[in-house]
Amino acid sequence: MSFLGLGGAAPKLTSEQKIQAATSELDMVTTMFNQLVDSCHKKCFLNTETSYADGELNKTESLCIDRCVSKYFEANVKVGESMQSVGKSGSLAKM
Amino acid sequence: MSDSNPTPESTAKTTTDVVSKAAKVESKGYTNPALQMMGIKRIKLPSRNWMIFWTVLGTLSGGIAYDKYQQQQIRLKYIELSKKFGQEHCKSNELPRKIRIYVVPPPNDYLTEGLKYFRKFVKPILNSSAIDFEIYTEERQGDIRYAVAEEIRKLRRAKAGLPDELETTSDDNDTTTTTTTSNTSDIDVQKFPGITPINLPKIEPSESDNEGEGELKQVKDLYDPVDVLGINLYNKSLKQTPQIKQDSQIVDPKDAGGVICIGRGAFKEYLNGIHEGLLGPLYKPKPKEEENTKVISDDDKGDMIAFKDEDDKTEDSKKAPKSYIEPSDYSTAQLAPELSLNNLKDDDNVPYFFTQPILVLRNYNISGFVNQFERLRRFYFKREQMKDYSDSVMGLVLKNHRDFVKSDLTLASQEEKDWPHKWVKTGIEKNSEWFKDFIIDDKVIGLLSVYEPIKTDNDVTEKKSN
Amino acid sequence: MDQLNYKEQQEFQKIVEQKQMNDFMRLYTNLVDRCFNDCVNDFTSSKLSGREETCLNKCAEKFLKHSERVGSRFQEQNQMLMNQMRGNN
Repeated sequence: MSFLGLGGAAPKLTSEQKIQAATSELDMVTTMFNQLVDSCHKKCFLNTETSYADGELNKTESLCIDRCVSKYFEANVKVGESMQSVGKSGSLAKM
Repeated sequence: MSDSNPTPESTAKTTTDVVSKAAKVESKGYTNPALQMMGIKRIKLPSRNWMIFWTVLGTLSGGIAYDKYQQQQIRLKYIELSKKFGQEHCKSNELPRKIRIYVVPPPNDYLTEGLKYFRKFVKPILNSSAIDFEIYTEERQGDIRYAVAEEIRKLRRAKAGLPDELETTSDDNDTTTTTTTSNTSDIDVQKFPGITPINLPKIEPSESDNEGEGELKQVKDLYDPVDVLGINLYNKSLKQTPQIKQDSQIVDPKDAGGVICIGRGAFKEYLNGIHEGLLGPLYKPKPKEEENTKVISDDDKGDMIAFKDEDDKTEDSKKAPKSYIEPSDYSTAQLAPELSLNNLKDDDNVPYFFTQPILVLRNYNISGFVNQFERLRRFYFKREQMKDYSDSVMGLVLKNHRDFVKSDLTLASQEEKDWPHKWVKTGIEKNSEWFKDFIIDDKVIGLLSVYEPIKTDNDVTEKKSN
Repeated sequence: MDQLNYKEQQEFQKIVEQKQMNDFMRLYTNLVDRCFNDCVNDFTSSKLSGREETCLNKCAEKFLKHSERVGSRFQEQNQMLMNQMRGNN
């Protein structure tokens, strides 16, 4: 019920619940990271034929990866914000 | 044809007239039975007016198309030339060379125009040679100077161990936040990477106060997000490996980084900013606080890179912060005593940005009634601008630098001829530094250097296109 | 937000390790899948050709390097975000 900061004081959680919450957090981290790796790989290595000619990253690709990650995070924040605002307006409408 | 034959039997005279007219018209153009069968009765040139229209339109748009094509050829050529730098290997903990770019709005125009030139003429080369960049812009004259000076001052303050006088709300102010982290870590911050806390319960601090701190730990303190990632098992050192900037690995400090100023104004402000930062006082001099309200509002912005602020648009009329030092005092001022001048490098061992070589690109904007022809010519010869820019940027890519000499102060000054008089007048009224003479100091100039353009042969593009 | 006592901490630590192992496995299977799809397209023989083999090697090397780089950037960005949120609070 503490979603969006409503619902007052959070009820005491049992230890199992707490662990569970923490675990799902971990899952989220790994999922996000894997998606990130995947997306940036897709975006930065356009032509697999030529990019596998060389086992090392080159500078262009490295730069692309750097920018890709920071953009991904930014997008993440932006989407989070808009979700938050949508959630807020929705709950306000209910009230 | 049949309908052009007049059927009404009125006066014979008019009939013959019409007939002869029709015959005359028919005789123009070209026809043959095969075309007639296909429904094309006559092929003839359009009327004179249409001819003029199409010719003019064709010439104008052809000129544009040709220019665009040439631009593309030039772009491709330079991308090809600089590609090999982008193809160099880069370890996963290395950060490529990074330069900074200062862009000012061209005279009487908007910032977007200046950025457009950058995007079209400079960025492709930077990208293909894998040079990272950071853009600094301004909406009003003086902001870049202030930002440059402030950055240097901040550096000097940090070296001297002095606090930034301004208590700011900015989030990049690490020095103040680190001291308080022990407190703030109790305040909940969700560990979800990349998601701003949606359900930040503000009740938390009190709750944590009640419980014994000894045994309780927050989830987020127990692990680092990177711990969970499998890639860690593959490369155990991932977490400890520090990032190495390639700029820090360079033998000749002048080979690291670089600065591009697009526009004469940017160059002037940049140089003035360096002078102000290196020679001026560390804090805002007192006697200048004549208008309290203004000073405070300036201070509020403090270290947040003020000129990046989006709210700035509403404050356009407001003047940029004044210089902390008068140019007349340059000669008596001491050159940044806080910095050790024989090792001008920051904590990452990257040479300070103000020692990095400068590249100045002039603006090609022109306006005014008398200049319409020249303006038109430039519009159809954008490739000249592009060539100029590309050669210069190649100089940066190839690190073709030399020491700064006094005559370099005139870099991009050809642009000043094109500045509209009226605009210059208002600028002088507003006391803008764009229109003042350069006042420089040898102590500072000794630190600087500039990039020399690389002249590539003109023929390459010509041959390719022909 | 959640406070864990000592016992829970230990349990949690175990879970973290387990997750890491899982993720490593996933990384491995993903890598195989990706490189197989990218490199092996010829099924006229049941043995990997020399070209395919070098491609696989390069692909694996490159992808791991890529992951490493993303990993370190990920950490950086995360750190930045945390600092930011701390600054805001």
